[in-house]
Amino acid sequence: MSYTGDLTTLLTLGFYVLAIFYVIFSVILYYHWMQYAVDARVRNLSLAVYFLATIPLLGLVGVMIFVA
Amino acid sequence: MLYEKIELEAGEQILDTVRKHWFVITLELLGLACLAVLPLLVLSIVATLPEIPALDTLLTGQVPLITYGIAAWLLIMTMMGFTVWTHYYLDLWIITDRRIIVIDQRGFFNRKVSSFRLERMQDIKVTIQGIIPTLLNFGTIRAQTAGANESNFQSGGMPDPRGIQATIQGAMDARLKVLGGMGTTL
Repeated sequence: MSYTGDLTTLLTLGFYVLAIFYVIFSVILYYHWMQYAVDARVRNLSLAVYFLATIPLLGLVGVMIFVA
Repeated sequence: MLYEKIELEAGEQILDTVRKHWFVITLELLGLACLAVLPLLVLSIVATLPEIPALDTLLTGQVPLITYGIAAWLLIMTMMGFTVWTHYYLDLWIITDRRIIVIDQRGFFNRKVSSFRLERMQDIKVTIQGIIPTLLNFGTIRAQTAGANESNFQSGGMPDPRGIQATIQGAMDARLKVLGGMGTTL
């Protein structure tokens, strides 16, 4: 296997690990806000900003692996 | 929402809800923001350096890798930032006309909810220490109760601690009057 192939495999594995960690973390974060927040407006805004900020970043990481 | 789960007593009124001072979370998020932009800063500095052919070849040939690294780093920093924000927002003091409920979100699966009855409150101390806390008016509130299990509780970074102390003191006096009045009618 070439050095480039090893690196690509490693980076692909890194993406999958990051994606799994992101999903688990997001579920935990979502649960805590739904369960313990006292203000629905702040809760909805926080969750919206979180997903709007993180999903594109995760998508960019995926694009760099599978497209670029 | 949380207020339903706290189960206030019949007729119990919420006087105030208090979170930590905005400076506390700003400082934490600022630290994370500095860490987040660090790779971009390093790249900007490298880009301004005098032309080094080997370095130029390395950087231009590895744009997807660099983008991958920076995006992954920013994603991790964003998640850490929201962890900080969540812990800040879910920490809460609820002052009612009968008790103080202290909610301490220590971690994602570590939450402490303590309830202290006003009539058992013995002493409230306020400490404001340092230039920035003095200028921005935030500090530590420490209360002592006559409870068997936990006699003290405290929180740092509380905004307008003297105002909170006055609110608690007023609520305590009112509560003791009510209980004193109930005692004399028996």
